[in-house]
Amino acid sequence: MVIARTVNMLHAILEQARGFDDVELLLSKGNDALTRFMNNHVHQSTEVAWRNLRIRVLLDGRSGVVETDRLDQDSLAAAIERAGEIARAQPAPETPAQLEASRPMADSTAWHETTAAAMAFDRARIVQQLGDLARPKGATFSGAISTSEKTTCIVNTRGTEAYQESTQAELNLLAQRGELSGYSYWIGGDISALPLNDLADEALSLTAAEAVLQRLEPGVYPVVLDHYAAGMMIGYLGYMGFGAKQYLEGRSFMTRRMGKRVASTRITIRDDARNPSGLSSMFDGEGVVRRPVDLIQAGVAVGVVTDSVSARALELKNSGHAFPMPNSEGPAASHLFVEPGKSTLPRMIGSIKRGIYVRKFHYVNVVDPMTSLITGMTKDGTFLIEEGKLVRPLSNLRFTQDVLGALKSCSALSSASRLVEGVYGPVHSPAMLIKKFHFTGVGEE
Amino acid sequence: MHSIAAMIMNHASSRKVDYADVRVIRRTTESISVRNEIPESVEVSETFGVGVRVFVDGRWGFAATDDIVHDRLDGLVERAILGAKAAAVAGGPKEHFDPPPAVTATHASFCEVDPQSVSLEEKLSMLTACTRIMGGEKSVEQCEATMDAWHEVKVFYSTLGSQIEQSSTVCGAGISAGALARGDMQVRSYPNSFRGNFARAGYEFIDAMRLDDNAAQTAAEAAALLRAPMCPDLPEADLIIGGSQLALQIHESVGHAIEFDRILGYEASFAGTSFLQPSDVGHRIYGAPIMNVTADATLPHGLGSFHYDDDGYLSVRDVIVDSGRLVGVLTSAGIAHVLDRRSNACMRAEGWNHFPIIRMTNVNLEPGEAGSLEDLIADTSHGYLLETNKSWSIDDKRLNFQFATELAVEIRDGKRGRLFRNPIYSGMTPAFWASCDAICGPSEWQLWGVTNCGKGEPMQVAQVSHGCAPARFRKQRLWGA
Ligand SMILES: [Zn+2]
Repeated sequence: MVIARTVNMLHAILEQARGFDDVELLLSKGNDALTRFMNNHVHQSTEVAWRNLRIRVLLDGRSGVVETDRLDQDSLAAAIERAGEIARAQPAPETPAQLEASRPMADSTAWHETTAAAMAFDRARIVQQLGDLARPKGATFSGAISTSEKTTCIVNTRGTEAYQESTQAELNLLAQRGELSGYSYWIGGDISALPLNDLADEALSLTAAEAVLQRLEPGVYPVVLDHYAAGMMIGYLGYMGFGAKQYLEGRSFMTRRMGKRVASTRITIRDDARNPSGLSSMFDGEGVVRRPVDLIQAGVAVGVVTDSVSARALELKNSGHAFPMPNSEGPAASHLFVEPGKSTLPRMIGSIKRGIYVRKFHYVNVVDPMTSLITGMTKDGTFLIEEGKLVRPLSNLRFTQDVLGALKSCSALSSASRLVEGVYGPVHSPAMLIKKFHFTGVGEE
Repeated sequence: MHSIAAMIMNHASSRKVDYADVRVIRRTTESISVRNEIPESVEVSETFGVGVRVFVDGRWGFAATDDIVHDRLDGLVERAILGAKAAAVAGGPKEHFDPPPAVTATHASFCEVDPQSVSLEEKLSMLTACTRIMGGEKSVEQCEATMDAWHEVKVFYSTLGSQIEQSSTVCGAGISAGALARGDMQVRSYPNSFRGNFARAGYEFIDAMRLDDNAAQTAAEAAALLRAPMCPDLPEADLIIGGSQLALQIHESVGHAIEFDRILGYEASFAGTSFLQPSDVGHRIYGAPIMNVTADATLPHGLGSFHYDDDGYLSVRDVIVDSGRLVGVLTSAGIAHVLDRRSNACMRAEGWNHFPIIRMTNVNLEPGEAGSLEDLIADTSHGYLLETNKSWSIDDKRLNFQFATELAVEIRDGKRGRLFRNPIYSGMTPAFWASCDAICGPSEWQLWGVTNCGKGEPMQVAQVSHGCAPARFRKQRLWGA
């Protein structure tokens, strides 16, 4: 069995690395394939087999880490020795590093033969089908379709043994017709579940209008954020402040707001790595079982995610959100879920007298994490809403907005929720109606 | 490494390919982060892999692996060929490739002190000392000191007969002080934000920064920012933009806009396109007549420097903007022919596991005649000096940008005045560069390394440098948030 072979190999390396207080090994390996296309034709077709072994040794509470993809005996021996040197070079820490002891269950639903077996020809045929859908509409598709498989295995001298095989397929789609563009996106474990026609229609639908782009004056407008824009905004919120390290260091908007109202009562956000609607992940970078964490509940800030170090500092149970340790990032909320509402996209648009519909945000960046202020552009689908209808496409707009401010003025969420691009990982998000959204610039004159 | 490259080229030559190249790359990195006198992470990594690119009937295929057991490499060329053949399924126009002349060459970048020859103890003790000094400043609670070094050996072989070995060392370091009070945080960094400054050089580059000597001043500035008033909201302010921030401005509003693959739409679905058209080259006015931009991969210490690109073309210094007029763009062997030109060698892949794409070399704003920064300040009756990037964003056509910097200093009657926190400036690329009326001279000109440039699918992170001197821009929108 592959599992036994991999685990045994790592146990043999643990044996080789005696002479330390503790040792942790994290092996990741995989195959990543991607087909990139532009104007309905393929211009890049790549396949990469990769692996990485992270060796962490502990000596008197100090960690030494070496990563390598050279797994022959001599290279391993050299890497282990170097890890020891790194540990010895450090001063004794006030809080000694500790390893966790964990035996998480593997998720047997995370690996799909359909995805693992997909070939360059299969991906190219999808591009061909997309071209067939675009041509009758006078449009073109550009984007990328990827299929990958990955194995992660963690063992340590405290008895941790964690193993997971998973597959992932992803389609990033851009429809273009004249100066109009439309975006859609899908990510999942099983490529046979890819809803190709729906995604093509979703992207093409925004390129159908017979109109030229209109320039709208920047200002404060009601806005309907489609799943993609809403999910990206929530991804940035998580990036800025849902981790315990930023919280502890006073660098998060959560620091002074825990237990307080930070958003509309309609907003509930949690991190739930084991939810099968997301890209499920059973354990974190320390091999610790991932637990669901409520972050914002009915508008009130209630929690942050932890790893072993921050959980100890906060005297909380470790929620299993570590990157491989030690690291300077701290724990991350990488499986965000926004609780859906009761509305629909058409109803939200229908309720607006004059406002803006946004499909997607582009080039978002943090301006001030303490106030949750971000900036970015709209892209691939920005429309003026008048009297409840999308009336004409707009030039892309720049926004500069505090996310918590936007969530305070959120007046509706869609009942449908989608897995969309975030920051640390995809975000499961409904579409949102935000009453006051600050646009501060226009993309084109 | 040469034997692996030669073997793969033998495989490729025995198959029906129109062209193939292989890159065998070994790369080691060391990354150290110290926060508040505690070593937060010391990461050492090594990767050794091989990537082969084949061109079959106008289509590219690429396959890579780091499982280098020789008999398994046999399948690598086959996998790349399958990729190229699959690409033909969807039809459409074929790709082009202008072959470079075959060369045999060996090149090593300039490195005086091997960063590996300096002990980890010494590095940690210097970084720890920096955070201790910064922590001595009242209200400064988050003190960070970081250091990075990497070394790469790359062997490139092609079916044209080229055999090129290039090795290089990059070093970088920086410190930052975070002052906190009343729910506000102000960060001051030296010599630049986001892990400091970087160069293709040895440890001497880090030594020359004198991080410890600058720690107290950096912390004092962070504390001062905490007490400073919010930057005023001004629709038309005269701005003097400091070197490191101007480097990022060049990166976003010139460097990416002149990538010819973006101009042709290859990046439309991810990084974006450009406001430029192919027909603009040679004609369009990009900025003020004092604006001269070069793309120079031959500078000794630039992160965007190399001897041969990943198409196998010799690196060049090319003029991009000449007295304000766009005369060049960044090209490759694949698309330079659209302009009836030869490639100016901009193809680079992140590593053995990536397909080469067009990347910036060192895109530089050439020095002007405004003397020193102090001369330029003295020449400004009312304006604001903006220093050190805090946040950046620009639209997919590279027109509408918005930058936040760590600080703004008001200039009145040629003298430095009040300090302001949270400045943001925003604008449109053509109007911004047209408003440039003074660029400091060669004494202020230096290279700034940018290590986090993302492009391509799957995303590739590239390192580039931008040489510039502080410059003045008239009537720009400035505000505080
Ligand atoms: Zn960039």
